[in-house]
Amino acid sequence: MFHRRRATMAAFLLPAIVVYGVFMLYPLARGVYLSMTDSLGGPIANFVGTQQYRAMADDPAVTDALWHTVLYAAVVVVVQNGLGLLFASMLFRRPKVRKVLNVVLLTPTLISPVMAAFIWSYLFAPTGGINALLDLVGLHGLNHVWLGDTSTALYSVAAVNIWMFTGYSCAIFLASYMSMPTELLEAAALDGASGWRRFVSIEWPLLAPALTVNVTLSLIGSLKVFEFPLVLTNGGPAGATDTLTLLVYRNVFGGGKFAYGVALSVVLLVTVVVLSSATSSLLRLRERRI
Amino acid sequence: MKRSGRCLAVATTVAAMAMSLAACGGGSSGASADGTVTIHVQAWKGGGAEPANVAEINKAFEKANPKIKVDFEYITANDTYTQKLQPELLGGKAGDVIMVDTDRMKKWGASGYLADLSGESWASRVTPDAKQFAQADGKTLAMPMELIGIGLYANMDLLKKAGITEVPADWPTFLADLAKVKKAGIDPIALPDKSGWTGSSVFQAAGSTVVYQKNKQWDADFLDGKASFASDWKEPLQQLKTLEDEGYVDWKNQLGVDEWAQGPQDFSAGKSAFWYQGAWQVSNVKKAGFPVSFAPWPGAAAGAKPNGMLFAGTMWSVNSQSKQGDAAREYVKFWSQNQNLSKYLEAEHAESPFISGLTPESTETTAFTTAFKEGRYRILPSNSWYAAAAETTTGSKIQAYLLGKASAAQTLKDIQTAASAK
Repeated sequence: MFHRRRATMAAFLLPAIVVYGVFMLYPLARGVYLSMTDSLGGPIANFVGTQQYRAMADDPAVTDALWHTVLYAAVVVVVQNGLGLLFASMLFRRPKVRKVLNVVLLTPTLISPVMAAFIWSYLFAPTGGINALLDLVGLHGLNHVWLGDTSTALYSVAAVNIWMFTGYSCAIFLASYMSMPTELLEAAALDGASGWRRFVSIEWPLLAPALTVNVTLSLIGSLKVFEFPLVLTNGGPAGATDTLTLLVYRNVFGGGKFAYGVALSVVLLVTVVVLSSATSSLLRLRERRI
Repeated sequence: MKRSGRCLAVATTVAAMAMSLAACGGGSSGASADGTVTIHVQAWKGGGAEPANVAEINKAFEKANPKIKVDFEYITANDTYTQKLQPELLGGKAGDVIMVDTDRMKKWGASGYLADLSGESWASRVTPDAKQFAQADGKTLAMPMELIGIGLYANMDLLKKAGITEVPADWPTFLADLAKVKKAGIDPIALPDKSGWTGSSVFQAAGSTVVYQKNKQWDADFLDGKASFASDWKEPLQQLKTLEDEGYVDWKNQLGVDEWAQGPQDFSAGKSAFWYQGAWQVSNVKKAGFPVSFAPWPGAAAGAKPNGMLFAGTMWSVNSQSKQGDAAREYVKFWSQNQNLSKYLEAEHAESPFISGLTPESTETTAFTTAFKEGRYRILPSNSWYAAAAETTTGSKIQAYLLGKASAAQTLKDIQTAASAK
């Protein structure tokens, strides 16, 4: 009876295992193999061992892209979640407008990232919407070539990412806020804890699981960012917004260095797995301590 | 009952999965019962903003070959095209005839995807200038469709307002004209360079005159290690800087403007007197309604005539895996004929790559065509040291130079490194 049940369970699991194997594990293994060949993307692929990885070590473009990717991720994770938390905190305290404003904040996530990037490329243009708005409010001195300056380009691209996904972070924090025990909040209020004090002592510890989810998701998303830098800057100016994903794309589809591009994607995968696992583990440890 | 239900569920799931896996596969073109064959043609011209008379030529082909139907597929240019075609070629699903450029021809040819067209009747009629871009390892793998210019656009209405009647041909005259235009309150020149293409291309266009009029064999010398960027390309790089030093262009601004989307729109809207782009934009700019002139980059010394810069543009290749190889070759052959290709060249404002080819005349490109006819031209070496990767790197390094983040010497050294990479 027990064995029969296990056999039935295995039969039901089989489709998922096969699909996962065919569409996830096999491509991954094949990718690792291809990164050790001299493939140009065609059927001809000679095994060259770790040649592509050794070439990567001598490529300053990879070091730059890795740094840009990590910096971009750091900015996005901190600002996006900071804003998300701020909005969630404000909305929690204003039940009448909570639903409406939450929907408003979530609206950008409904737009295709590519379309959003195209729209923002016009807004960021020297004669675009942002500079026009600054002129309108008498701040002409703040006019800037947002995407044409190496010191602001990466942050401008990150700003689009933040604009798009802050509502998403906010929704997760707000859900956590809504699940807080009301008696605990009422007890805190009776003890005279309000405002900042209540946030630091009561809300912040209770938001720990939401913070773990938000930081992990935004970290993975921002490390894999592709559409925004591709459409907004194509890695420019002067390589200031080159990310690992752009290098992968450029080598695989533009430069004809297919195997090198695949090797880069393996490095990207390892980077994402290591950083997101480490961050997630640390935050879960923090949750247990609270 | 329960057991039979479970077995049924398992059987259904396994069957559904097997069916979904079996559904993978298929084909593209084929022959019908009456012997009519359909060929699948894929290209980045013939749709969107560049119809290029492709539909008209396809219609003429079907009329001339009633037993062959053309299933034409337009795909957006550049990365999108490669992104779509590369996996299709790998999976044997690509078109029978595919559009390529030199870079793709080399890569896809090396992977064995392209048929050898050396024996085709048109192959011997390709000019030596164009032939080198269609060949790999001594085999002709593509039929060149055009040699297309990249150069300076001038809005003749705005020039007239500044008292200028003709497009400048040399560098001092060009600077003087830019000064006049600026004095008249008109934005002198737009060189949008967000993706780095314009900067690297103007650098090449200036070099086409400055470097190649001194040494026609510069490419060969460079590949033999007898010539270098450090010694020969200072002036083309300086020309880019001079435009900003004289106050005609703000590079930081230009690096924020997209050369493919915003650039053409801005020039068509009459926002600047001069602009830099490929001849393929002439047809679109003409629609704006003002007289436009397309000329070589005026990089020559005082009184000298400039060289035009051309690029071996689009080419047709036949998929080596095509089941309709004969029909595909017939299609390519049809395009090689002057009366058919000239319709495409007319739309592209390009030169014919064939001996005794028919290059349509147009008033907008007179200055450029004259330079070509007089032999004052240089073709971008996109088949050797200026392949796609080197072009991208050059664009990025020039952006750094224009932003003051790298010296001229360092920039030329970086370009040399990119151009030397195997």
